[in-house]
Amino acid sequence: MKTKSITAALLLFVSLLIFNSCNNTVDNSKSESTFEKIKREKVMNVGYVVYAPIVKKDPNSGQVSGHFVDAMKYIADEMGVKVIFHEADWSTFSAGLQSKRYDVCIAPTYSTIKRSLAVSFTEPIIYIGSSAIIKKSDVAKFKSLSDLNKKEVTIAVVQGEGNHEFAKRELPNATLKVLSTSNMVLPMVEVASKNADVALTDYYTAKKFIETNSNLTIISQEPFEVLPIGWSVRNDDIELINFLNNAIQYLESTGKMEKWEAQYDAHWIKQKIEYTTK
Amino acid sequence: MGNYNWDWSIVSIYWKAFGSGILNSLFISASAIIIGSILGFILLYFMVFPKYKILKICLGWTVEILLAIPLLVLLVWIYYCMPILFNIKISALQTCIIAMSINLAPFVSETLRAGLDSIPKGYTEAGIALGIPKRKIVRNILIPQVFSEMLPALITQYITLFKLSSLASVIAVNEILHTANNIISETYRPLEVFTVVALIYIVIVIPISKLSRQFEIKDGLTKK
Amino acid sequence: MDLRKNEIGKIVGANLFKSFNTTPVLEDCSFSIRLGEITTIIGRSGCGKTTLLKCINGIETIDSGQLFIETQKGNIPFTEKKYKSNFGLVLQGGFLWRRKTILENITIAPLLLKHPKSETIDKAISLLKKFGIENKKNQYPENLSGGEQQRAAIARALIMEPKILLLDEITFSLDPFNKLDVLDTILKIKDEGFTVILVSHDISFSKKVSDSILYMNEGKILESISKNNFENSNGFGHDFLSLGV
Repeated sequence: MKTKSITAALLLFVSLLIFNSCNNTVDNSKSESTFEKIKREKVMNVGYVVYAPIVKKDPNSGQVSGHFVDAMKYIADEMGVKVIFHEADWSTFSAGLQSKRYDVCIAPTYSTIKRSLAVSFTEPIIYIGSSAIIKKSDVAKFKSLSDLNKKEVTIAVVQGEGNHEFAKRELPNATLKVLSTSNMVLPMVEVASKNADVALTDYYTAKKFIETNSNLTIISQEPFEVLPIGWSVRNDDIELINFLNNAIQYLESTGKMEKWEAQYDAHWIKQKIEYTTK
Repeated sequence: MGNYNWDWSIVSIYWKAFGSGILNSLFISASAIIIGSILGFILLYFMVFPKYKILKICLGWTVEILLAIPLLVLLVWIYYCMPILFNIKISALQTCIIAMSINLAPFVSETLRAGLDSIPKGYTEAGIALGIPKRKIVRNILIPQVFSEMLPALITQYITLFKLSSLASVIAVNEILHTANNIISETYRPLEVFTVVALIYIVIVIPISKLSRQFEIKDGLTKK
Repeated sequence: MDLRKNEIGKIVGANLFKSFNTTPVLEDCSFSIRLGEITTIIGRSGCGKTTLLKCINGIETIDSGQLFIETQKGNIPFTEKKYKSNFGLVLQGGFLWRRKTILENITIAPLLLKHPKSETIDKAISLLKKFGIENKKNQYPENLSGGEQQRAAIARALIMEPKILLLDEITFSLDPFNKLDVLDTILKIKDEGFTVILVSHDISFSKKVSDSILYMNEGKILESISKNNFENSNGFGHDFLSLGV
C-alpha cells in the first residue's frame, strides 16, 4: 500500500514536472496562420544561433545583441508585439522552426535551393562569401582554389555547412575531413594543428581567426561562393514571409539596417540599390 | 602550433560565464542523478516483485529500449518531436533533466539487479529461516547491501552522466560546453577555451572519483 | 503449538520425496530425531543432507511424505503455521549480512517483525555475552574470525527463540581452536534444553558432540547410530564413521 502511494506520488510529480512549465501549447489549428497567431498573442518567438556580429550573446550576462537582433526588435516594436529569443544550435535550428518552438529563425543561414525545400527564406539581407585558410608556409603551394582539388590535399569543413556542399561539388578530388560540430572555428584549428591542409569557412570567421593566429592566412582576399543570407520561416507561413520581406525592404531603404551593421562594425556584402528620381 | 600566441585573459574576462556554465552542468546532472536513481529503484522493485508477469515483461522491454537509445537522440527527440507528436512543449533545461534521468534509470536498475542476482541464495535463505517475509529481506537487507557494494559502479555511471551533460549544448542549454562555444564565437580562442573546459572537468570529476574510492575502502572492498 | 524447552518427543519424517526440476534429491527418506539431543546427519557430498535440513526447517517444501514434530501433547504437522517458528537454521557459511554489524544482524529479524526494540537489543546482548563475542557487536562480519562468525550466526538464529536448531557444516573451514569454541557453544545450547541437528563432514567433531548420528546416502537415511555404538557400528555408516580420526 505504501509502495503504491509512493509510486503514485512520483508519477504525479513527474507529470507535473512535464506539464507545469508548458509555456505555450502548440497550436495545431489549421485555420490560424502563424502571422495571425503572433498578432493575437502579441508575442513573436524568434530562434537564433550565435554568430557574431550578426547575432551576439554576451557569455557573462547572456544578453543577446547584433544587427539581426536589433532589426527583429525594431520590427516587433513596430508590430506592437513582444519578442522572445530562443537559442538554438546549427544542427537543430530548423527542427526548432518545424516543431514550432519559434516562428522565425534569424540564424544567418545560406538560402540555398535544397534548403528552400524544407524552409522558406526571406529576400537576402546580406551576402556572405567563403574563404580558404592555409598555413603561411603553404602559400606557394596553394595559390588558387584549383590547387586544392587534389587527392593529397586534406580540406576541413563543418558537416552540413555551405562550404561542405561547395567542397563536394567543386573540389571532388580533394580529401575531405568533415567535422561533426557546430563550432565554425574548428576547421581552422585543424589547419593550425596540422591535421588538415586547408579549411573552408565563411570570410568573416576566417578573418577573425587569422587575427589571433599569425601562422595562418587566406588564399585570396576576395571571398568565393558568395551566397545570400535571409531569415527562415516554415514553408506554409506565406503571410509571415511577405510581412518580413516588406519589413526588411523598409529597414534597408531607410538605412536602418546599414546603421545597425555599422554599430557592430560589420561589413557584409550587400546588393547595391540606387534610387533615382526623374 | 609553435607560433600560436596563447591568451589567457579569457579566463578573467569570462569567469562569470564559465561559473554559470559549471553551475548549470552541476544542477542538471544532480537533478538527473536524483530523479534517475529513484526511477531506477522503482524499475528494479517492479521487476523483482512484479504483481503481474506481463508487467515484468513490459518493464524488461522498457529497460532494453532505453538502454539502446543514445542520450543525444533522446534529447533531440524529446525537445523537438514531443511538440509535434503530443502537443507538449517543455524548456530545454527540463528536457535535459528528463532525458538524462530516463537515460540513467535503466543503468541504475540493471546495475542493482546484477548486484542482487550475484548475491548468494544463502543470504535470502538466512532471512527466510528467521521468518522475515521475502519482500522485507530484499528491501531492508539485500538492496542496502547491494547498493552499498554497487555504489562505486553507480558513481562511475553518475560521473559519465555528468560528462554527457555536455550533449545538452545541442539544444542550447547553457552548460559548460555550450558556454565555451559562445565564448569561442566571441573571442576566436578555441584552444584556450577548451583547455579551461578540460581543467573544469578534471577539477570536478577527480574528487568525485576519489570519494568513490573512499567508499570502496571504507566498505573493506579494497585494501588501502 | 510452540515447543517448550526440554520437550519430550521426536521430529519424524516419513517417506519424504523432494526433487529440484527433475533431479530427485530425497527419495523415500524416513527418519526419527529425538528432541533434546544433538543429532548429526553425515554422508557423502550430494546425498541430500542440506536439502533434508532445509525441508525439516521449512525453507524447502517436500514434494510428498509426512513431516511432523511428535510431542506428548500432540503432533505439529509441517503444514501448521507454527511449525516453522520452532526451528532456527544456520546455513553453511553463516551468511551474516555483510552491511550490518553483528548486533544489527542479530536484531534485524525481530525488529522487522515488530518485536519491541529494547527487549530485542537486551536479548541480543545477552546472547552475544553467552557466546563470548559481545565486544564484537559493532563490528562487521568480515572483521570476525571464522569461529566468531559461526557463533554470531548461531546467536542470530537463537534470538527468535526456536527450540530446534539446525546447523549446516558449522565447522567448515575452521581451525581446531575455533572448532573447540563451536563445540562448547553447541553443548551449552543443548544444556539449555535445545534440540540440535547438525549436518557435518567432520567425523571426529560429529562423534564428540553428537548423541546420535544418522547416515545418509542417495537421498535416504540408511542408519541411525547411537552414541554407544559410534566405535563399533557395523551397519551402512560403518565405513564412513571409521574415516574419522
